[in-house]
Amino acid sequence: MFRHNKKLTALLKSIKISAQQSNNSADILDAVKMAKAFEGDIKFQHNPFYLCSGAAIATAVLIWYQPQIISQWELDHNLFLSILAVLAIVPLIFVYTQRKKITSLSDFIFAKDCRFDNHMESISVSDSVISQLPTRFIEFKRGNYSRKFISATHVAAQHSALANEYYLYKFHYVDRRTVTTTSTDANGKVTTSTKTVYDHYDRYGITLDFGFIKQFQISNKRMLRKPRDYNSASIAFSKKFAIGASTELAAAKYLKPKIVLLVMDLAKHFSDLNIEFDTQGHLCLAFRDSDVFSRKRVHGLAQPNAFYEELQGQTALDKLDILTTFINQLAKYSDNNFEETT
Amino acid sequence: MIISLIIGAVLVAVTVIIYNSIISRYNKVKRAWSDVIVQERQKEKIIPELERIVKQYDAYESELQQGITSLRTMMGEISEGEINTKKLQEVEASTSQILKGINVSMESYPELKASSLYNNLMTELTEQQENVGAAIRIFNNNVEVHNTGIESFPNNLVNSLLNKKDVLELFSDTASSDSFEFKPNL
Repeated sequence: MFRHNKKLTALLKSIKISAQQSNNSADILDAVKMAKAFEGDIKFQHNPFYLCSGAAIATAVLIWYQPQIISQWELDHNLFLSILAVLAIVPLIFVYTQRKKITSLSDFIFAKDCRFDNHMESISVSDSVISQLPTRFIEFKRGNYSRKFISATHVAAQHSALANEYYLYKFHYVDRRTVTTTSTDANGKVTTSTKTVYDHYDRYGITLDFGFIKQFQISNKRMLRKPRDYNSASIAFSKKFAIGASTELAAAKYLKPKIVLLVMDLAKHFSDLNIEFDTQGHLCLAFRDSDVFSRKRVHGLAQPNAFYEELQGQTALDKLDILTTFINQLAKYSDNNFEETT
Repeated sequence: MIISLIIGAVLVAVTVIIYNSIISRYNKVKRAWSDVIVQERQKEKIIPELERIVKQYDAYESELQQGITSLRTMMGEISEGEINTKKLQEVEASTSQILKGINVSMESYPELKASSLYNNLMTELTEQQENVGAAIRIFNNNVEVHNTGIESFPNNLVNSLLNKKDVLELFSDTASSDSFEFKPNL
């Protein structure tokens, strides 16, 4: 059993190194082939740990109800129970950690394959395009305590479903607030206490050079840079979104009926949308959904053959497709059809 | 006494809120209708350009000219002030016919079909037509919200006593719906 666990640990280590060094989908598949070739199940054998934990829990329960059992040994009752608690919990933590190794590695492999399939290249968050976003878009004026980019991805023009290259990012911000609680004790004495609470939020987005629309924003009322009274004639749209633009005229020009319907359709798939165009015509489209740039895997390394087959196929990112289709449609209805001829 | 006054004040407040919301939704319907007309007018502005380029290529046929003239006349009959979905249906049906007619006529003129200006005009016309379709969808959506707003309780009481707004007619494409055998029991 311990030999199996040792061999499995070594295998996972090799797969991890191969996956980390992989440069394409074929390399990823080669890494998973190692799991396919492994003799035995890709599963740690933990029976002795369960046995140890179970025995400790059973002993603790017994001593709890029959303390006289250990009184003859002159042992500290509480100390003995504490030792049993450690003996019950530590093996379970160890089991969890080992199991987690397999699921984490499966997640890593699947995410990396998904990036290869969709031609996504990880870039540093200090890349100039990403680091300059907060100076160009109000989207990043969130969080009264802290804000930072967690990750960034680049998709080159030749692989892009859009006319241009684009960037994807994950942004994290923290709001700090003070909560005051008042409690009354049995004697009627009122005690007031305050504590600081930190609320953590993640936002995701896509940014690219759009060009056809400038200084325009479709968002909720709180997040507008230049709020305008103008809104669509649509009752449903104006309930959900407010408009920001350089002038009322610009707002009316950009907010064509077809664009209103496109945004309403997009809002069915994405929550808390903020569609923002800066003065240069760069687009930043942000939302709260975390499932746009990745997908949940069906199988993992524990089922190597099924996982291999899953990785062999093209991992489609349905919500990213919805997003790119929307941006293409937006370009279609915002561009000037006579630009080349006039 | 005080309770009666409070109940009376609440009733007045609720009535004012409902009255104003009916007005607000009705105005949104009127604005959505205006948007439909604005989009129709936008489309109308492209037609002279299309005529001009078609004439250059000697592809201008009298049938097509008649169609364009009647389309202009019909567009002149729909107004922003009066919601007239039937007239709009006629304009939309006529537009489809004229666009089909232009496309058929152009088959005989490959050099015209290859013209980038002609293609740009047709792309613009198609996009304008799609914007008209979108404006109609927005109008229909607002009509639905307005109708629900005056038919549901207690709004129907406020409307029958104070606002006196009628249930509005949705725009429906009869040419398309006639092709379906299924007719919903509405």
